[in-house]
Amino acid sequence: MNAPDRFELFIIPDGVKKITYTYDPKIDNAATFVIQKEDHSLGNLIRYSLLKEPQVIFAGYKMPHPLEHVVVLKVMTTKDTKPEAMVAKAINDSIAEVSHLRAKFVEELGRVRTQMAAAPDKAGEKDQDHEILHSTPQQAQPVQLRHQEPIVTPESSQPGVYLPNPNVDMDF
Amino acid sequence: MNPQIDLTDRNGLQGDKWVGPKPEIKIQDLTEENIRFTLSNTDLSMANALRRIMISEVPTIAIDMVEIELNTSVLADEFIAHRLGLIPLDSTEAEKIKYTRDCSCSQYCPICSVEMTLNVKCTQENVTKDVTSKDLISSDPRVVPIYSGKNAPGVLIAKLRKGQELKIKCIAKKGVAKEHAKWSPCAAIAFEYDPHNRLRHTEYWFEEDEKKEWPKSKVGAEEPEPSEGEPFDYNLKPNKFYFNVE
Ligand SMILES: [Zn+2]
Repeated sequence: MNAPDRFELFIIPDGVKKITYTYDPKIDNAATFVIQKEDHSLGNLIRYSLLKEPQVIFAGYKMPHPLEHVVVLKVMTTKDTKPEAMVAKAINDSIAEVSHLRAKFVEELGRVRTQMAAAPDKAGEKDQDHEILHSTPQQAQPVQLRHQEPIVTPESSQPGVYLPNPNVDMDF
Repeated sequence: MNPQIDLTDRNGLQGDKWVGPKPEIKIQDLTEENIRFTLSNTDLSMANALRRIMISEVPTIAIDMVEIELNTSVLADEFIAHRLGLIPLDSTEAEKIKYTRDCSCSQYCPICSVEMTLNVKCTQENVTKDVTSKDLISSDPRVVPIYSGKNAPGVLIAKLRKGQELKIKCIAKKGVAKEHAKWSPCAAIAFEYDPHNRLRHTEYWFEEDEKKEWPKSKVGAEEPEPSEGEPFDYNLKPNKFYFNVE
């Protein structure tokens, strides 16, 4: 009856930004990020990724309330960088890692399917009712990544210079 | 503010090249309905995010709106509507179908939905007619009910006696399981790491002897068993994750 709509879990209302941040009034190089309509999948991933950075002194996240689909991320960095830059790097690193993982999975799937096509009897014995995926292996095709947007912005094409991903809706 | 930071000396992303840890994936078993694989060289957060996303954020197609024209069966309209929603449909082409909320139409249209009809009447005396997902007629050959194996019976929707009839129009839409579990692409995901509890992320309850009372993990052979009295290394991190997706 008065249950919140289920789509509130992932639909960002009009005029609300995906991610906002405020600097900590008392601690230098510390900021609180509020990410809308996300959960532990993303929160924990970014936190883990941040903690791998030597310049990150503190990184933690919470979901303040189970009915509010918001992730609050607190980050403190050393003086030679900024929290928002480290968060952007953490996000880009995670995207790159997932892209790599996707390519690896497609490659492995191709390998397994070729193997099964070569020895279908063995597989059939094991599981008669279930038809084995016999389609031709696709490993030769280069993987088209869905996140083909440039991970590094055009302005930063010189090596070593890094800018946050423009597709992540943050204004720096 | 545009902080320009040199990242050449760090792991992770260098320019647009990933030089951080490279996750590895190994498939042990693959059938139409099941995949067993091992993910390694990555973090617990990545493995867990993968698991969570497989459960709740992969878009699929499921019946979302039902218009019941005629229902003289013993089951209530909403009961049948709920059962229709849970029927697994082929969602391989889900990427090509729009979410209704992103579509320009007001309720549904061929761009964001697939229409299916169910039209069954029992005419025979003293027989119970099973209405299954095989009776669902889809307007789109890409989105049809799926079965395990060729000879599998369809998913049972209702049972009819003589004179009882069902005339239903269904609208299948794209969605994610965060909204309703009927859009979940998987039945179950088994996720396991650290079979010998080296990391002490858990503590086994036991009456007399832990080793006697707890069965060994099936994936235990994948990792070396710690020797008796080995000191606890609190710097260890989980590195190998075992998945089974149904
Ligand atoms: Zn539409």
